[in-house]
Amino acid sequence: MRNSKIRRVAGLSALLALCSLLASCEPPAVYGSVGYSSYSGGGYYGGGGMSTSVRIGGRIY
Amino acid sequence: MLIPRIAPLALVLLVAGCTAVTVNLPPITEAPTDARHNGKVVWRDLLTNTPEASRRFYGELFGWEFEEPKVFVGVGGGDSYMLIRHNGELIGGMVDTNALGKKENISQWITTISVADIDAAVERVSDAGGNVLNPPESIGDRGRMAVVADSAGALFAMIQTRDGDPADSEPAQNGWLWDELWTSDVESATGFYQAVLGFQHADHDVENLDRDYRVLKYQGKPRAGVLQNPFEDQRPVWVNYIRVEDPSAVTAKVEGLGGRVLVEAQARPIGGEVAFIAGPSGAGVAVQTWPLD
Repeated sequence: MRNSKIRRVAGLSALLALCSLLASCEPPAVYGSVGYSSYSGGGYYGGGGMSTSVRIGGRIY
Repeated sequence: MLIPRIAPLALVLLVAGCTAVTVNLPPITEAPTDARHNGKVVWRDLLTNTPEASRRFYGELFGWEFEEPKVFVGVGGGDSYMLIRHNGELIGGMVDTNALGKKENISQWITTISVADIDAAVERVSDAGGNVLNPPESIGDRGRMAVVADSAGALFAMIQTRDGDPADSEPAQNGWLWDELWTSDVESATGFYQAVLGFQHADHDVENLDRDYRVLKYQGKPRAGVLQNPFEDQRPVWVNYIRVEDPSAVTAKVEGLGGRVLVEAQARPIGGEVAFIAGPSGAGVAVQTWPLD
C-alpha cells in the first residue's frame, strides 16, 4: 500500500519534470525569434510598386 | 505502475529531441583564420519563404550555387538551411522560414557583423535603445550569434565567430560589394552603432552628390554606409549590395525569374550605376557597378 503511494508520487513527479523540460525545449531560436511583430520590414516590400525616382546609395570608395 | 517505468524512457527521448533542435551552422570560413575584424560584415543570410524560387533567382542572376551543409543544422529537416557559394567561396546562407514555423512573410537579408565579445555587445544594444530579439546563442561551429534591432528597428545580427573572420578582399563580380543602413534618423542611428560596435564615422562630400554620404568605420576601415531612408514609407533596414557588371542587364532578367525591380538602374552622380531589386520572396537587395568609373 505504502509502496504503491510512493510509486504514484514518483510517477507524478517524473511527469511534472517532463512537463517542465518540455516547456524549456523550444524550437530553434536564432532566426526563429524574428517574427512579424519584431520584424522591421524594409527587406520585404510586399504590396504595390515603389517609386523609381528616388536615389539610393552604394559604395563610394 | 506504468508511469515510473516509462518516465525514464520518455525523459531520454525528450532530451534527445531537445538536442535535435539545437542549431549547428558551419563556420563562415572553410579554414580557421583566427583573425578578428570587428565591425566587418562577415556573413549574410537570406530568410525566405520561397527557397526553391530564391535558389533559381540568385543562381541564374548571379551564378550562385547552393548546397546543403555537411553538418546537421537543426533548423528543421533536410534542406532548410543552405550554404551559398560564389566562385567556390562561401558567401552566405539561405534559411527556409517555413521550417521556422512562420506564417508571416519575414523574408529579408540579414546582415551579420563581427564582434569580439558578443555578450558585451548585446548588453550595449539595450543601453543604446535597441532591442535584443535573440540573445547570444551558440550556433555550433559558426560561433555565438545574436539577432537584434537597432534603436530605429532595423534588424541585424552580431557574431563572435569560433574560428575567426574572413579577410578583407576585393569584391568579386556578382559577389558582395557593400552594406548600407537605410534609416529614419542618420544621427541617431550613428550614435547607436558607435555605442554598440565602436564605429567612428565620416561624412563624405561627394562631388555631384546632393547630400553627404556617411560611412561607418572601425579603426579607420570603412565597413558600412548610412543613408537617410530613400523610401519614407518603409521602415529602417540594412541593405546589401552585390557587385555587377551591368545593373540594367540584371534588372532585365528579374521579373522573368519571379522577382521585382524596385528601383530601375540609375546612374550615380559619383559614377557607375545602381539598382534595387527584390527576389521572389520579397527580400530586397541592391546591385552596383564597381569601381565607380
